[in-house]
Formats: sequence, structure tokens, C-alpha cells
Amino acid sequence: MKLLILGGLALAGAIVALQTSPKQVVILSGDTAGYLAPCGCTSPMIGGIKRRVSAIRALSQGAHATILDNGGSIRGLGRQDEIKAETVAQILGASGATAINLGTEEARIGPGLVSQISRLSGGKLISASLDGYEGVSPFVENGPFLVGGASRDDVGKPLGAVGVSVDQAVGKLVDAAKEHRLVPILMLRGNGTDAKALAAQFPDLRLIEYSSAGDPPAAPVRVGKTILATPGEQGKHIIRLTWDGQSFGGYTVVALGPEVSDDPTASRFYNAYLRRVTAEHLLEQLPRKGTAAFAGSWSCVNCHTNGTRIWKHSGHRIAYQTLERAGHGKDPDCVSCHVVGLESTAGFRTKEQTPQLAGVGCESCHGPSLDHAWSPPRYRLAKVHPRQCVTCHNPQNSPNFDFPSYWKKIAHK
Amino acid sequence: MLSLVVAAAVAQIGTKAPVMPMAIAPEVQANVLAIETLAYKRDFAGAKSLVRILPKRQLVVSWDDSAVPSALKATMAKTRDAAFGAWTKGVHDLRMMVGTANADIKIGFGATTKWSYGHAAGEPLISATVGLPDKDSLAAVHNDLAKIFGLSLGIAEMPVTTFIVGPKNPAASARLQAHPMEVGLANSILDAADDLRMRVNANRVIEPASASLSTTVSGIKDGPLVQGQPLKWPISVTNRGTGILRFRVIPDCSCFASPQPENVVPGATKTVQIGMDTKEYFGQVAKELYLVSNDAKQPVRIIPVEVQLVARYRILPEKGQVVSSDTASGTFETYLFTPPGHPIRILRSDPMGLTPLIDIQPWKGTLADPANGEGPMPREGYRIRLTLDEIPEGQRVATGLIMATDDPTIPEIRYLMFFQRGILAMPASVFFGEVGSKPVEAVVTLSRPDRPFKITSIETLSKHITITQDSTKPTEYKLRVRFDGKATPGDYTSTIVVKTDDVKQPTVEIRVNASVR
Repeated sequence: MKLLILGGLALAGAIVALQTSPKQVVILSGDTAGYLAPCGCTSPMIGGIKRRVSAIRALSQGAHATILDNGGSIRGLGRQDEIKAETVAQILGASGATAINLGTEEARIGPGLVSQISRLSGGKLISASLDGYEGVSPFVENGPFLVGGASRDDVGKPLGAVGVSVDQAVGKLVDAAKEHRLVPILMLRGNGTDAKALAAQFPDLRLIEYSSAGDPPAAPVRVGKTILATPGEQGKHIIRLTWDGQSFGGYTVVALGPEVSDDPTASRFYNAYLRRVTAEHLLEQLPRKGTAAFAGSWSCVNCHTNGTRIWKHSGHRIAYQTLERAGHGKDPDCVSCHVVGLESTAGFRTKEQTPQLAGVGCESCHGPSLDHAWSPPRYRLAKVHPRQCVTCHNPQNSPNFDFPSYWKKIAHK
Repeated sequence: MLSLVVAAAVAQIGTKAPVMPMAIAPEVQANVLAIETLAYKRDFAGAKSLVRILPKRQLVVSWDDSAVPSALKATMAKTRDAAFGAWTKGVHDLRMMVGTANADIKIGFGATTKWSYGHAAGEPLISATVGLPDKDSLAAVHNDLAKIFGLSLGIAEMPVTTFIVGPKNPAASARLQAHPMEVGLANSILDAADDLRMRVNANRVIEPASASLSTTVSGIKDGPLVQGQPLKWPISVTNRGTGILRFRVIPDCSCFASPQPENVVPGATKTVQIGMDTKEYFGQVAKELYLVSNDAKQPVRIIPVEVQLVARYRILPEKGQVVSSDTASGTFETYLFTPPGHPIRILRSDPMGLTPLIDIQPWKGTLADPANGEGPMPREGYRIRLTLDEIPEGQRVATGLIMATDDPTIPEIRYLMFFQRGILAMPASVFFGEVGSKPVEAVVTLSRPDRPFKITSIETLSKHITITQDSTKPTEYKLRVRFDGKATPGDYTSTIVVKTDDVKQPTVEIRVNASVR
């Protein structure tokens, strides 16, 4: 009887210890795809690296956190993409990331960038899809977990390195985890179908983070004991899971909306990014096409009195000022939707050189109109279709766009 | 006289219950039904005693902060007032004040946040315990309070993450203003509650009624379909209740087109079409629709949408997106193909940036698409060849191609490629990021894939930089750049000058940047 009581007390003590010791939390992010800041013109915009860090810090409080980023920080191959990849790596490193998966998106830019982002992240870059590569580890151990990165695409090819198939990479992870009695977690640069197939093939995997278009599902997919989770597209969400020593639970999707404040450290790095974009004159290096000449919206006022009056009082007119206030006046990602004719050799250059084309104007929709302004009967302008609006008011930039209600704000003949 | 007679008759035979607005909380609906039932039985005294637990525009909040540590009490009171403001700034004539007598909302503090609705005369609308804050979670307290105040206005909990009455977001800062859609819902519910209160106070007999939504659609799965095809799905809703059903499908993305709110009379079915513009997406796309109604039990249902979309076109460059050349001339070749049965005709092509010679020819052949997990298979489309004769020495330049198509959903296809010539540093600059006083090292690669070259010397004007080099192949060198961390705080910039044995490109300049803290 006494033994039973003592045993009961020991059990109770263990339970108390379990409850009071910090829990294991895993936080998943990734697929930033160049969206370092939520871009757009209508609230509420979701996403952004500054909010992400703030959310990661909030969700890690009082817990042993394993912070994972599934890579895919950029989309393109230009200089701005290089600077973005460096900035994301630096911010993730400073936010205490445990591991960052190397995607082909980063690898395509070359060994120099991979080395740079590995260093800027504090050596957090991983990929088991490479057969030994300087600055990139196959796995990383954190608490009870062994985290590995793998990619469906050949990450090695653009780096001139030896690549490992995804099956082999995951096999290595699972074997290493078994050997060290750790829980294997896979970050996969691949989609939900790939993740399901790998979960079926490697049932020892306990968690797979994968890539997807759209938003993360409200509940995770389960294949046997493996949980499949995705933070969705463009870094708009992060996922939090808890680990109780046996299984993952507490799946929570956190949308990075305006209610999540910006992290001051990430903001400092982000501001440095904007300064670099400005200093390197990236806006001036954009490839342009030849078009007819632009006139500027004030040229339309004499004949199209009503239309220009409505434009004068619209948000379109001050679109460039709005962008400048947000610190993105020299950011090639943003400027094209805030000025007239950025892609044209005859279009917007700078506010000083082409002030008449700063802001969204008549020619943003109706096209270059200098010829029409000189001789209206000879040069007629084409009718504008509502689909013209969605070149800028697309689901990413303008999540609440609805043509009838938006048209009312600028309706003119 | 006639109107008096009509009013008397109406009082006798009863009036239809007011149509409840969408997104009204089931608990509030239950109270509405109880009031209507009493009014139908002509128990106007009972109905009048219950109308107190309907949402209203003047709310008295009883505030018990006895469990809050003394040092935090003043902060908690400020947090509460800010949470009031999140609603009073938008909802018409809404006032929230602290009081003790006849409290409509009862707030206390405890271990976790929980609440319950009042259902009997004399009970408050909502009684809540708010989770006691630690020093870092004042925002969570604010949001919990703001949510409880929103629920007291009759709004159901919603799955929309940007709503105050949405799911708890542990990472959120204080939400200082309700979403305009939440404000709209609150105003409609308060209007309906005012209407019911007025009828009860006028001793009107009311026929109790409530709506009950039934639909067979619990989720939408579609595809595989070709990107750009407009999709339409019917959602049929039947009203199995006794009152008028009001519903609307609210999407989580402007890629959906959803109709305006609909009313459905009892027993009837209405079908709405939900459209999706798939132009912006390909692959597995997951979205959500919210079916919001005045259903008495489940005012918000989530309809998950999963669509498998095949890319409208793909462009596969034979040797990557970067063409490296040792001369001023370079040719870029790529293939554009479309899914079987969905051809695209290229009507015109224009260059962006430099002006390459463009040659676009119809093409049929076999190609693999590893990025999409596809092995070699027959494809059909165009072979695109661009020849550029003006690649600047020692630079990587971007040039674009705009192709006008006959597909109205994708009138233009834009593609960006890069030409590089000579010896190039990658990345273009060494970026140390934020550095402290400790030394840091970075690697930059100098390469010319087509012809070997030699580095004859490396110079830098900065005493803080040292450089070593190693090479694994004669076309590529790794420069290890070491920064001693001893520069004065602030933005640090310098340049490394690499001298080569190439007479056309005797020097390569590499910028160095750091923020010294």
C-alpha cells in the first residue's frame, strides 16, 4: 500500500514535471517567393518577413522551439533576387531559425549566393539533396528532432555539385534519425502529392513540411503517423505544432495580418534591404520595350474634363506618393503599378525626370496617348476591358478587388 | 381609425418574426426564439424581461479585477477602454461603459479565457473570464476583451483570421479597430435586435421563426484543369426552417466571384454560382469559402476548395535561364509548350531591354520537365531562339521577351533571360550584413564558364579586408574575403579590384558592403 502511494506520488511528480517543463514547439515557414513585404493597395494585406519574425518570437515564448523555413525565398534570377535572398537569410538567422532548406530557387543563382546565404543565416542552410557541399549540412539536430531538407528538383545541377535523389535523401534522414534515436522531420521542396508519396514510403517520418499554392489548410493532412503541413504561398502564414514526446498536435495556422506587429530587428534588416535596392539603382536597370510616347494625364484635361476631374480626386493620382511614403519609391517590385509606363522606353523614369508620369494615370489603362493628344480623330484609343485592372489589382496585391465596387470609385466615360 | 383597427388585428393574429441577419451567434438566436415564443403566447411581461439579453447599443460592463495584481490594474483598465474603442469607433451609436448595476457584460479574470451567454431574465448577455496576463501578453488580453465585446454584439465566432471575432492568433498585436465587415454585421444585428425589442415593447404577437440551412456541399474539389479556365461551381442551399434564410458565400480571395446575399423562404432551395478565376495559379491550389447565414445553429460553415491546375504554358530553357558567352554574341534557346489540346498561338513578339534577333518557330518534340516531376514526353508548341550581338563585357544583363497570344485569358506571355559575357563575380557584391567587432568571412565566385583565365593580383584599398583565393577549375575561382570587424560603426563600403590575364577584361571590381554595429 505504501509502495502504491509512493508510486502514485512519483507519477504525479513526473506529470507535474512534464507540465511545468517547457514544451517542444515546431514552427514552419517558407516559400517567401520574393514577397519580403505584403505588397498591395487594399487592406488587409497578409504576409511579410517583419511580421513573420514577430510571430515566430511570440509563438516560441516559453517553449523549446524548432524554427524551420522551407526555402524558396526568391523566384527570379536578377540582382534584386540576390539581395532578397541575402536579406531573408540574415533575418531568419537573427530570428533563431533552426534550419533553412536550400531550394533550386536559391541554387540557380550559383555557388556564391549559396555560400553568402549560408553565412548570413549563421550556417542554418541544409539540404540532404546534395552529396556534401561547403556551407550546407544535410541535417540538423535540435532537441528530440533530426531535421533534413530535400528537394524534388536537382539542387546540385546549378551548383555544379553532385545531387542526391529525393528518395535517397529522405532515406538518409530516416536512417540517421533511427541511429541517433531522434524524431525525423523533413522539409521538402515539393508539393502535397510528393509529400504524401514520401510519407507512405517512409512511415518513420513524423512531420513533412511541403510547398503549396494558396493558403494552408485548416487541418493538417495525416498519412499514418506522419503529419503533412504547408505554410502556403508567399510567406503569408506560419504554422505552429506542439510535440508531446509521442506525437505532433496543436496544429495552428497563423495568418500574418496587420494585427501582427513588425519585429524591430527584422525591420532594421529590411530597411537595409531597401537602401541597397535604392543604392544599386535597380529601377533604372529594368529592361524596357519601345512604345509610342506618353502625354501625362494633365494633357487629357481639356477634352476629357469629367474623367480627369474624377482621376484628380482618386487614389490613382497619388499612387506614387503612397508608395514613396511606404519607402518603396525605388523598388522595381512595386513601382510598375504606381506609375505610368515603367516598362516603356518612353515611360516613367524618376519623379524628377518624368513627374507627369508619377502615379497611376489615364495612360496606365488607355495606353500611350501623346499622338492622340495631338490629333484625337486620327489616333483613337482602344476601349479598356476590366481585365486591364487585374494586371495590378490581382489576388496578391488587391485581395478584396471586386470590379463593380472599385469601378464606382473612378467611373467615367 | 382604420389604422387602429389594423393594428389591433395584427396584435391578435401576430406578425412575422423579423428576419435575423447573417452571422448572428446561435446563442443569441436561441434567445431571439425564446422571446418570440413568449410574445406569441402573449406573455409580454416574460418577453420584456428577456429582451434585456438581446444585443444593444448601450452596454454596461461590470469589471472585477480583484484577481489582477495591483500593479497591473490600471493597465488592465486602459486595455479594456482600448478594446471598447475597437467597436465604438465603427458601430452606430454604440456606447460601452463600466458600471455595476444591471451589467450586460460581466468580466472577471482567471487562468484561461472563456465565456458563456446569458439565457434567462436577469442574466448578463455574456459572462466572461479573461486569462490573466503575464507581462508579455497584454495584446492577448486586449484581443480577448475585444472579442468578448464583439460577441456581446451578437456576432458569431468567425473563421476569418483578420476579424476580432476570428480565431485566436497568439502572435497578434492589439487589434484596435474592428474589420469593416464585422462592423457591418454588428450594425445589422443591433438593428434586428432593436426591431424585436420595439415589437415586444408594443405588445405585438410575433410568430416565432428561425432559419435552418441545409446544403450538400461540404467541400469543392476540381481538376485537373488548365490554368486560366474560368471555373463555376453551384452551391445549392435549402431552407429547412420556419423563418427566412439569409445567406452569402464569402471567399478568402479576390480570385473568386461570389454573388450578393440571397433570401430563401422556408422549404425553398436557391442555387448560387461561385466562380473562380484561375489565371494567377497553377499546381495544387487550396482556398476557402465561408458560407455565412442566419442559420440558427451553424451560422458559418467553411467550404474548403481544392483545385488541381495544369500550367497554361511552360517555358523550358535548354541550358538554364542564363546564357554565358565569351564574345559579344550569344544565342538563347528555349521551348514553350502547352498542355495537349490547348494550343496557344503567338501573334507577335517584342523585346524588352536589349534588342536580340528573335526567331520563333512552331515545334514538336520530346522534352522532360523535371521541375514538374515529368520525364521525357511528346510536347508541342514553339521553339524560341534569341540571338544577341551586344552583350557588354564583364556583365550579366537581363533582357525580356513579350509574346502576344491569341488566348484572351493570357494575352501576353513575358519571359526574362540573362546574357553574360566574360569574367563575372557572383554574387555581384560581397555583403557581410550586420557585423560586430569579430572578424567575418565571405566567399565570392569569379567565373567564366567558356574559357579559362588567371587572376594576376587582388587589391583592396581597405585595411580591414584580406583576400585569399582558391580554384577547383581554371574557369572558376573562389575568393575568401575576410573583414576584420574593426571599421568604425555605420555603413561600410569598399571595393576589391581583381586583375586578370585577359586583355579585354583586365580588371573585375567587386563591391563590399557591411553594417558595422
